[in-house]
Amino acid sequence: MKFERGFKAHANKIALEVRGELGLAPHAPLCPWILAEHLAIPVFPMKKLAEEKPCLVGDVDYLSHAGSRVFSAITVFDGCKRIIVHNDSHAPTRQRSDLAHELGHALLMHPPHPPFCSDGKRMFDKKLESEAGWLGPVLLIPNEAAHWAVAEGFAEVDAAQHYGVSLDLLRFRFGVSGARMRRDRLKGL
Amino acid sequence: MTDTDKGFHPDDFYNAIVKTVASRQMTWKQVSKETQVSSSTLTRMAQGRQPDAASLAVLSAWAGINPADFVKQLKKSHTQESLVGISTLLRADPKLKPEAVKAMEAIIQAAYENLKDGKNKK
Repeated sequence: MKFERGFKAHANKIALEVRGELGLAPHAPLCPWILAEHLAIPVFPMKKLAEEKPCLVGDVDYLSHAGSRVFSAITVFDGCKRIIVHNDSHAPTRQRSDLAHELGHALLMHPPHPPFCSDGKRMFDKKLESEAGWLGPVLLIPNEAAHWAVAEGFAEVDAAQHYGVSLDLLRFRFGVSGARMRRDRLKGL
Repeated sequence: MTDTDKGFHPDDFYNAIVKTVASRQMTWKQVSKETQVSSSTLTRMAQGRQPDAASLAVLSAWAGINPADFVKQLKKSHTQESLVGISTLLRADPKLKPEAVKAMEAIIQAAYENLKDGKNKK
């Protein structure tokens, strides 16, 4: 999807801004749970909900196993206030990515909306999802972090581990940030 | 839960900002750029947290709203002291140099004290 002019730069600016507010260097790894706390957004692991509401145990069990691909994370609104519920049965890298995506919605001030349409389907706005889908990975690896990792000679696997992300996400950010091109130039490719 | 520190209602203030943004048909990105208030500050405000003093002042000025209107516990019988109001106006006047402001404040203060105590006898 094509973003409006200046969006990608704005997204990177947000990522650097929150790092600064958290006392982190631009290239430092970011913990999305700490960011959520900084933004005053409560985060509930799905399994914790089941502990507090035993009637949800069956549903949570389903989403943790057979239906684990169905649910990653969701932002629930009370007026303008958000809480995030995420599927904590997923791999840690997936959880970080999912939480960063939801925090991306929050930082972009995407408007409150009900989770489901009147026909029971998930409410899905393509533009907003694309924007959060871009900002989420940027929050985890801003351009400066990608370039730093290349300059420091990180292997992709090690960089992915350093930032707590999947190899796919790391490679995506290395590509779109220009870090891969820089790395290839350094290698003389 | 709304944080009503010292009677200030941040939820009501934030709602006023939201309405201003909507009426001006702006994006939050534009608001952040114009006011220099960060995205995270705006996000925290949406969660009911109080903004820092500078952000509160800038957003109030940008929206043309008075943050005092969102303080509900204080009795509104307190009016601004005259000298404070005059001083504020003088300092905000771009045509006056700081030394001119200081001089005028001193003169006005002296005259005010004189009149307040009924010492001016003609």
